Amino acid sequence: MDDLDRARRGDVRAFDSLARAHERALYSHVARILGPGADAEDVVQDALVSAWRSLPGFEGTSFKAWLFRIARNRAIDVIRTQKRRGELPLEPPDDGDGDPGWAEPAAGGPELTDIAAGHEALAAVEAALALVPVEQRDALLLRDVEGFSYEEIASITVAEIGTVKSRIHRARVTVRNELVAKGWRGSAG
Amino acid sequence: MSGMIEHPELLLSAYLDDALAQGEHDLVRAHLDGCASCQARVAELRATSRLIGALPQLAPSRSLVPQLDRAPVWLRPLRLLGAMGSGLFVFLFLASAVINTGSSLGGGTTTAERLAEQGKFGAAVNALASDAASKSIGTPVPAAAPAAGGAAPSSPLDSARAASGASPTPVARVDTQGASASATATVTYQPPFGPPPVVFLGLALLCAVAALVAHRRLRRS
Repeated sequence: MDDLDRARRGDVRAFDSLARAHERALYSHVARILGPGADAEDVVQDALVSAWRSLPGFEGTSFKAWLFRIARNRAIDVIRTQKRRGELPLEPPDDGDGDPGWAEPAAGGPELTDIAAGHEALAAVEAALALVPVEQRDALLLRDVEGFSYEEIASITVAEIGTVKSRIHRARVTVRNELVAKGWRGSAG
Repeated sequence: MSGMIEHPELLLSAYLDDALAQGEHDLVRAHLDGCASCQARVAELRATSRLIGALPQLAPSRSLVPQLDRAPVWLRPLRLLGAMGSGLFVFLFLASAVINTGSSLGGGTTTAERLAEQGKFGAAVNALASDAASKSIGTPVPAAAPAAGGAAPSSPLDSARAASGASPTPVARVDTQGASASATATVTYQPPFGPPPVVFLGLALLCAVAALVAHRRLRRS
């Protein structure tokens, strides 16, 4: 019997082990949606408490996907609340057909495909991600950072699979365009 | 235009992630075979995806795992009471042991013995009886055996025994041995009150174990 089975039977230690295994990944994801800090920490902790309470009813196949669904839904709720209070600027809807376009790179920079994942590049990627609309960023991080399949992302974000494809592509293109705007040269350029 | 479809820009990420249905996948692949521009875009999207995937995990400032295994609220007072009780019972154990030791060592024999050595057997018996009676108020009481040689009148011992409701067990005894006129007097007492010291020791250990268990449980939570 694994930790998940024991946790579903009410074993606190087994759930503790599961929670510790996913704690940082959950926080990283939520922090890149909400911004790092107390709000993201509270969301993850609340999500874990909620998961513990709902665990007997969990019948899915991926505990990790289930945890991410709970946490990201809470994070989106926080963003909606902040928007209602005027604490965050309104974003344009991100489910439309609009294509972010393919920015033309400037000549002279390093090839985008040759960029090593160094500190400078990662800082640029973090900055570029922050400019991506929340729901697109959410889908892109679930894919590229956490490695979920499109079907799992559709389940986590409660969206159609076509919407997931669109969000991921547009988010990826936006990040690419931001990197190109910082001087990196796309190989197509 | 290249291949069988126009530039399938919106499908390139899904193609990259192998998330297209087989038919769409084949169409995009056929297009890419003849379109350098789309090949370059796929390469850049792959590079972007790898950079995003290389982002380090962010660390929270505290543990976010909820404390579901919280210790019961009564455990903290139990630990305190256990520690205090343990100390109290150790004190009682030591006090009880000291009192008992004092009784068996000092035991009222000094006066009687001194008198007996002086040949004053009657006075020795009287001293024994009064000492025994004074030490046994409210407890099982010492009794005195009749003195030998008719030198000691029996009435003080009898009255001491009667006054204290003594058991017939001889706890006080005066022995005199005839011509040598030497006498020894020994008085042995039960502890004056309370249970034997070992009971206090046992209670002290019990309280210490309870405090230790409570402490470990509190530390775990």
